[in-house]
Amino acid sequence: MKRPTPQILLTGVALILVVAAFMAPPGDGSSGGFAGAVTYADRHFSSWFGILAVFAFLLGGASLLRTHGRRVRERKADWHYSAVTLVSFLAVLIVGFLKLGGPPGLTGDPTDASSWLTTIFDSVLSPLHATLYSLLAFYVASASYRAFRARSLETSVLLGAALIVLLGRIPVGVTLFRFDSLSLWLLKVPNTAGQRALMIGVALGVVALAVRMVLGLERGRGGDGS
Amino acid sequence: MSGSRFEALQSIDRRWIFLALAVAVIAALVVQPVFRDSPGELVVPIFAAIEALAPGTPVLISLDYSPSSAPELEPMAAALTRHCLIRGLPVTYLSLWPTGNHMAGRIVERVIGPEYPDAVEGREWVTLGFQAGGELLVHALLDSLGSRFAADVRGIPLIEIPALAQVTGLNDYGIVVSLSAGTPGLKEWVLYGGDVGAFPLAGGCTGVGAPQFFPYYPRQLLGLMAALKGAAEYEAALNDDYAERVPRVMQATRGMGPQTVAHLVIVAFILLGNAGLFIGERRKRGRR
Amino acid sequence: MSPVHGWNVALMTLVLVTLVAIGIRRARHGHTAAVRTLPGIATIERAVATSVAAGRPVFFVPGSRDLDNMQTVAAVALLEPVAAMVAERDGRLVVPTNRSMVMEAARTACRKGYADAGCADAWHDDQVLYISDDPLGFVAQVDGMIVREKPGACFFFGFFASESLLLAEGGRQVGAIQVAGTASPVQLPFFVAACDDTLMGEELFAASASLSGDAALLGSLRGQDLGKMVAVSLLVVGGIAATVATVTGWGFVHDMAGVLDVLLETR
Repeated sequence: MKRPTPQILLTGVALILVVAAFMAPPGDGSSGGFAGAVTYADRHFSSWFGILAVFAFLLGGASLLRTHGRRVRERKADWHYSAVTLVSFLAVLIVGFLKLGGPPGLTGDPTDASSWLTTIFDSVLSPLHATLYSLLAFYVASASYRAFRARSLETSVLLGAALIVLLGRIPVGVTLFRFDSLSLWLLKVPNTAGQRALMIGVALGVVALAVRMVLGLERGRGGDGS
Repeated sequence: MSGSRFEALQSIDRRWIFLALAVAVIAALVVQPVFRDSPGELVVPIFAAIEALAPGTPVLISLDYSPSSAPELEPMAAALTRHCLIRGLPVTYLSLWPTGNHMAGRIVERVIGPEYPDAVEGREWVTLGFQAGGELLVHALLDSLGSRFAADVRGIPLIEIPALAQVTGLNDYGIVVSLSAGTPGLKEWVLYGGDVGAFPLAGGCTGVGAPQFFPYYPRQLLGLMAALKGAAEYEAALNDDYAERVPRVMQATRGMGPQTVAHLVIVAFILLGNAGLFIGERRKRGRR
Repeated sequence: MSPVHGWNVALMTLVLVTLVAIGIRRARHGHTAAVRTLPGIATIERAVATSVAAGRPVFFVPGSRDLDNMQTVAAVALLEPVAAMVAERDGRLVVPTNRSMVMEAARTACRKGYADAGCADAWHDDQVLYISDDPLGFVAQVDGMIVREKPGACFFFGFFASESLLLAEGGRQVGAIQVAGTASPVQLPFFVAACDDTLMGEELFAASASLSGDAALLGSLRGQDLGKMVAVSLLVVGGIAATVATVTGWGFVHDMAGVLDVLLETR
């Protein structure tokens, strides 16, 4: 069954924002008329997306509570992880919402240094972030060991480049092998060429996808592909 | 060594790699070797640009990172802050990331407070904080800071802040530096700020993100601090010119010790794996 | 506030949009273009078949950004045919998301995919989960799910930041067949190193068209390639003109290089 309304909205908003990107006159959109509407759209549509995302968070939060609540209730496999998730979610929500420990009231800053939310951020979230991020160092080591093998000409070139850059980015490699200039050349010339080609291709891909969406051809976006 | 042992070099259990890396890095953290760096080609232009600014010229530093990227980017923020305060350049901190307020607070707490006790907030530096909008925020700030920031994080209106006395929009800054760990970040500053506006733009980024910014140098970016090494190079430049006014060994220089060791361990395992591959291939050809 | 972009960017955008629209129109009139099979697409089909045969679930992660990111849109577009593929083989699809709106869009895409495969009743909305807006919290849960549920296939499509290698190594640890696709040049090397196949850059945006086999969508790929030819031509002509102008100082070549400079200048 065709649903024209979402497609009409998508196409209309897309065209307004494209026009606004190229033609929005100075001002805040209060001048009225087409120019005023375009300027207003240019300034405010991104804020509307942010507001929509906040309301959508209610859906996500509800889904999270429902999914994990069911797992705990029905004692499904690994239900204790779901219990931890629920307790953490509700605890931080209550602490932040009630601004416990910090300046109270509607204008109280929940990120004030004295607030419990800041304490949770500094004592729990920051170390957890650092822990997960530091896993990358180990995973990079094992992925590099596995990936950089001279099985063919191309992979040999890749191996050589990797060794030059790895050694060129440390003082020992600069002192012993003088790899700093060579590694900088690899980053400035071959890497830049590849990055620019990728950027051009990606930009073209984005334009093509956007045209498909605006014309209602893209599937899974309210368009039915016709 | 028998053939199968050589070939086993090709499939070392990754847990041995993790263990070797952990031991090496922990040892480096304990011993704290210091490897002196020298300012590189991409870092010198940033240092020179700030050196060339007349005292009182405002500088903007955008702290677009979170605690997970702070080990690489915070040393850059610290080094830039020291340089600006030594040169008498008022610093404005803002951020495209929600964690930016916290990151600015860490700079104040760890660098400005202990090393520059005479510095006054609002006069030597001001924190505008985080605002949502990403690239659209950058674009809006081109014309006017006041279009998106009514006050700084203390709630003081912009018009009452001496550090912003000469500033209406981004073009009034002597230089803008974005320290970026992802999106929104340096790329948005280039596309919506530096490319469209008329202010000098420089950047700092994580090692992973560095390759994507080289195409913008030197036209859209006057310089780039890439990864911890870039921060160490900037610290080296500070030590060359202001040795008596900055700590002898700063954060990034100290971090280059463990990084050096980690890189050497990774290179060693790569060479081990390839040694196993070559010897295994030779033995197969020999059997045929 | 002044416009973001100038007339020259508008002109180039119009040229590209026109080429894509021409490609679509020609395809609708029967002028189909031969499109090379993306290696990653064949691996997706093999991975789904292998995973379902082994009785293991299929994981599809549509990136770590919201629907305002085009890579997320491309990933959700790709989710529909993948869901249809899983549904046809009576497999189990799990789609962890880290944005609420992506969760809703993914559910819509999966419902449509399952319906297209004639298995609408087999779909449960709980197969698409919202986990956390925090990328590292998201990856921690997804890696935990991968280790516990041991999927036979893991697909990572869309925008990823540092979580790319964390996810890919997690899937590798359980022996899953992995296909990734991203237009983030920073994360491509990690996916290439840790996954069986990777769709690079524009291939991600072409994947949903390629997988669907729809003539109009394939026509848009032709338009995309025509746009690339225009870009390459400008690069070559511009490079030659600038070089010749510098070496010879000929006026008309200098003017041509100047025109291209104005056309492509963004300031």
